[in-house]
Amino acid sequence: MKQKSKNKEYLKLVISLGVLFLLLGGFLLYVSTPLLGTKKAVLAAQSVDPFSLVRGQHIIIRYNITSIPFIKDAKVGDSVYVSLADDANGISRYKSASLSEPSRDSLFIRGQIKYIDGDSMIVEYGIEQYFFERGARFKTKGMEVKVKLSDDGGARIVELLRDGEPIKITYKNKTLTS
Amino acid sequence: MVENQDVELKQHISFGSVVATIGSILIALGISWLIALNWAGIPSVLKILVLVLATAGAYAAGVLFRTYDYEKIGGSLLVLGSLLYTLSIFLIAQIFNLATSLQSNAFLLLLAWVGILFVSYIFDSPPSLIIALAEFLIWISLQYLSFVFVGILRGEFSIGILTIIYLVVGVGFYGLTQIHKSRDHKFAKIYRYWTTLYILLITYILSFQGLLPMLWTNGLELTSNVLIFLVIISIVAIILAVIGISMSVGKNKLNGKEVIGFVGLVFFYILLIALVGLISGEGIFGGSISSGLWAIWLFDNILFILVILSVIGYGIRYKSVKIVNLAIIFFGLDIITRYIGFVFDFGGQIGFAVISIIGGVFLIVGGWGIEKWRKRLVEKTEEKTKQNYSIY
Repeated sequence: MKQKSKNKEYLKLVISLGVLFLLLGGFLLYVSTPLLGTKKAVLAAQSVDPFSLVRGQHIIIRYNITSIPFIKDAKVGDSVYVSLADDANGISRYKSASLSEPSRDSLFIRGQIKYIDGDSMIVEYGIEQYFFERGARFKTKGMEVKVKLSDDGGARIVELLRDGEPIKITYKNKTLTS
Repeated sequence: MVENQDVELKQHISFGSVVATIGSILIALGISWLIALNWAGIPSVLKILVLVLATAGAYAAGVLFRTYDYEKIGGSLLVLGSLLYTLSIFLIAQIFNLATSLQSNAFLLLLAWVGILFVSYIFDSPPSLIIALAEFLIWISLQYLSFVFVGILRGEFSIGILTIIYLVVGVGFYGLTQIHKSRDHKFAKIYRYWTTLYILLITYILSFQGLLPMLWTNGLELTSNVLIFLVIISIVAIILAVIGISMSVGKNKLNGKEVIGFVGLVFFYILLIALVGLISGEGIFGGSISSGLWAIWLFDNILFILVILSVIGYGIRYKSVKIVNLAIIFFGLDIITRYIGFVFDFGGQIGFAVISIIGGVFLIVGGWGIEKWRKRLVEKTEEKTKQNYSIY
């Protein structure tokens, strides 16, 4: 290949990688925004059966704030803002909920209504799953989840806790046949 | 003599580079396996760095091979880069514990196919385009399913909309085929293949007796999300089709008959999908099937055979062995599906045994016949390719 064509190929490489990394960077920024926030909350939780064929081994987490009282005029798919208040043990509990965003100074988490059943509704916050690798061992009983919140209530999991301490995940020893 | 030596040397270099590539892939595989085994202990930042470097490394190696005239190996490494890019998106989603919902997966796939599509054009890489189109097919299906997920739980899911989406995408791909054909771009063949795939896929879905009454569920309400999605992809598809057809016709690379044939087929499908609404909600289990359902089902299956034959004709016209093979695959699929359907319909142990034996004999004879037919068609297509006459 001539030098001119080679240079063209290298330019193509730079453009391609630039665009791909721009997409990946934007995605990274989007997913990590809540982690850059200063607000934190510890939510009481319990784990449900893990399963995902595509996305790997993880646990599904159900929170105490997954089911909240029905709000008038709420519809499935609506965004809902759940205000939280810390109890004596430092666990953030449901205080109130609204379809409009509360003051940004207050502690609240944003979710989406998935199901309405009479006077209660099921809300998802995007933090219902926690991924780990194969061969992991840890106790999920009495689990709490430490999350970080962005100004608009978006949440990301920081770590799993029990009695205020990080849950230690141990992995099966690797062998040559692992 | 010198020429022969050059060829021999080139072959040695080529063989050597293939071995070297396999070696480097094995080393990369070994390192990635070790990384995977210790993935849990690696900090998130380092994990992301590993993914980014692996993707960039694959693309850079691909370009290097291309610059030294090893197009095939270079192309394979670009494919590896595309796959690693997709993998990176899904692993980053895992690192940040993103939702496993259909919408979340659809979003991840959207990011993946958009990036790969862009790169495939930059590098003129057909295999990368194929990966992008395969991811697009999964994305469009997942995106629709995520919009109607609550409806699926309530049993208010409509396959009719999904068939319309596939039809609309098929129209868009036909437009892209024509745009690329008019510019003598090598991607024209790929878009032609995928247009055919979507058309055959719709016809196959419509050939199921059990699915027809479910195409339009009673009391179905289109949500605003689905409606907006449908309107946007329809507008894009129609614009692409109009631009593509005018460009190809303008350069005398498309004749009026083909355009009329394609528009007629699309119109026919829309009519058919709408007509299925007449038998909406009818039960097919328990023995009683209405004459309306029978009529539409028979009509659908005759149409399926006609579409397959037309696709074979289309493949021969464009000298595409792949399109002919695709049509034959769907023909075989149709026979097997109908056979299983008949076994279910005429149940009972003796009935099952008799139909199994008769059907089995038919399938063996049919399989032999199909293979013979396929070989003849492929030979005919290749013969036309050798004659090297230009057909658009």
